[in-house]
Amino acid sequence: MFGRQSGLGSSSNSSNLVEFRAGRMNMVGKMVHPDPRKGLVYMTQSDDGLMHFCWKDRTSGKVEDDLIVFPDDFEYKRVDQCKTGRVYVLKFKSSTRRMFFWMQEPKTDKDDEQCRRINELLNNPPSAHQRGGGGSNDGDLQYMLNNMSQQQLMQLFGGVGQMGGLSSLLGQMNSRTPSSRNTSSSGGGGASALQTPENVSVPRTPSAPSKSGSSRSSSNVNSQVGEGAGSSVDADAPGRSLNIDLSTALPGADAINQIIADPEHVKTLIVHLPESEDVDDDRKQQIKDNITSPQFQQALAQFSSALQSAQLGPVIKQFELSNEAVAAAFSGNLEDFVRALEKSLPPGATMGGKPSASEKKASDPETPTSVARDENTDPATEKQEEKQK
Amino acid sequence: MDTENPGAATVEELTTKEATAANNWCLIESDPGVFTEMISGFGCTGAEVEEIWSIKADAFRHLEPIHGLIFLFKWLDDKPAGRVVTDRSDIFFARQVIPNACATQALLCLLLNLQHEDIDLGQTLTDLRNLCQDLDPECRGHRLANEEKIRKVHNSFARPELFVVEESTDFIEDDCYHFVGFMPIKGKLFELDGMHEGPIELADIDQQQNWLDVVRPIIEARMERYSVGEIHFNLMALVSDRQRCYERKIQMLVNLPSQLSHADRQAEIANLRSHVRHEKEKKRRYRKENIRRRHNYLPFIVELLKQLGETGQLMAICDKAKDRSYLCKPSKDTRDQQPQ
Repeated sequence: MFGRQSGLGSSSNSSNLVEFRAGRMNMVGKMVHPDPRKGLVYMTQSDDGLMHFCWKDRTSGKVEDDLIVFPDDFEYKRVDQCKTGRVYVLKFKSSTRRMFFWMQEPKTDKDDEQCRRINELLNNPPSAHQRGGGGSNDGDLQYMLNNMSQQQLMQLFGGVGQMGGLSSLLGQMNSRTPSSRNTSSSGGGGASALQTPENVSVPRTPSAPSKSGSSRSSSNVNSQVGEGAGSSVDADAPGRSLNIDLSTALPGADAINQIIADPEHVKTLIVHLPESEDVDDDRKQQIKDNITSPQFQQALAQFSSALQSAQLGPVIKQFELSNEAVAAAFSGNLEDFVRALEKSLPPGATMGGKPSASEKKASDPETPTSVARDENTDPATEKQEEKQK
Repeated sequence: MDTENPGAATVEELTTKEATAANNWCLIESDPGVFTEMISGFGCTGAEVEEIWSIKADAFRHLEPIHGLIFLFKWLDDKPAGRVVTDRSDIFFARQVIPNACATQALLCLLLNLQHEDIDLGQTLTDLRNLCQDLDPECRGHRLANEEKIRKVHNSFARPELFVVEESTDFIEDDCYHFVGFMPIKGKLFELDGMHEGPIELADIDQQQNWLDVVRPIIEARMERYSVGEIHFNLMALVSDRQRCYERKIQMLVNLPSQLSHADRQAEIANLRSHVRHEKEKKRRYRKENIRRRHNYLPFIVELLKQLGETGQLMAICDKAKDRSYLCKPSKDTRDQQPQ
């Protein structure tokens, strides 16, 4: 499709890969004398795939020099010592033999390009099948077969090659399964490609309000359904079949601001974050920055998915949560897990109401609970470290 | 140099802490900050990676000189788009012999084929290039797979073990993605893809031609092979360190005679200093993001969910997330179209 560009030869002779007007020069002793005849230097590829460097007399049309060249046998370059004209030399690397040519093109602007082109063809001949205008024939086929690798030959001939290719393809697919998981967790398309747009937070902001609005109305509907007798089973079924992704709802929640308004919460959360290089970073801002970062959102999405796949049970068990929460993790039910975490509310607090009186009452019982949490934090951390080791 | 030391130290520390399987190579996210940190982790200085959002000509101009391009796409077992070159010992090329190594291999193939005054390969990469001089691409691939320093840098981006394990057992999908490199070498455009036997010669580049003008239609054609609306590719450019470029320009304006008037010179210096500040801020953001990529957020998640539960707010968040799972397709469509 994007094969190599053809050389200058297309102007007059499509089989020539490069050609330009130049005269021969003859060596007499150590002196080089120009042959006054009009000539043409060109390179072409014969049917057998061999490269030829040729010179012919433009007047008589006779080809007087026809060298078969192989890579690294020759070098073609300008002779700077000669000041009376544009002289180039074809040097034989394996001997002291030289062939000299003087440029007969009226313009000098393409001398360097033609020199580069000659050297390219001398040392990097094109493959036979890429030649322009050449039809397929036995010579071409032989050349192609001789130059194919064993793998290519196997691919060309029948079932063995095909099975090998298929096996290779399947192996490639299997080895890259984790990469695909990235894809689906990002919501379709290339995972890595999609992650980058997520770094651009501005374009996503305008869409949030409309989603939030629709979410609220849907939430009301669900709430009504949930109140019905016997509907708990129906409520559970959709939860199990759907993959709920907490990262779609948590980062922008006002609840985060309420959490970090409490210094005790900040204190227990900050120890689980990576250390910040900036010493003057505000701790609350650190927590918010991490929660809104794509890296955390991806981790939370994976947490949601992993919990619902019922594989996080043993890990969750190490975090000193309630038995109900651990059971929910073992069964892979995220909604039950969430309910279990809320069931451990301090006495006096309610799920629905948030009057200031309730807040005051709630804050008092939380103080001893907070102390207890501090004590529990260390064992959890130690267990986590042990697991990691 | 002081700026880069913390980055290197961070890589070393995290590499020591992260215990990854001895011979495995982890997945690499297609992100300029990740690739830029890998470059400095290899000990190479003067180079960085920038994301390319548009392949129109003007989008590239401010990044030049662009030394190479890294292209991530949905992998198909295609025939090479050009001639596979197997007789160029002057081109560094390694076959990919291990899974997940294509990101590092694409990056290394660009770096090791690069000769530019802005960029110093450093000892590790110089040794690697010398070591591989006489090997064939297959052996180079194996050599690369066993190069401890390279693998450590690559695997320093492994995600915490918990999640990786969960994923590999949970999902089986067909799609996989692949990184390749494009760059000019001695007047020709090459594609460096470790899944093939050699560098792929795609086009000639005339002396007066910008190689980006040659590669652009090739990449455009590659992108058009995918359905409209699907996002299955990403393009990044290997460029000279932007901060160094701007600082060098400032030095020239300060120390050398200039055609500019005094006021114009001052304005240009202020403009360049603004660019330097932007680049420093970018590097700080890269470091922060890379630290987060390596961090195990599980304890933080559990603690946060516990606190949200104790304050009676977790159920509402879960309900909202559940509602949004019903809106899953429109949400995906919206996100898919953002990069365009």
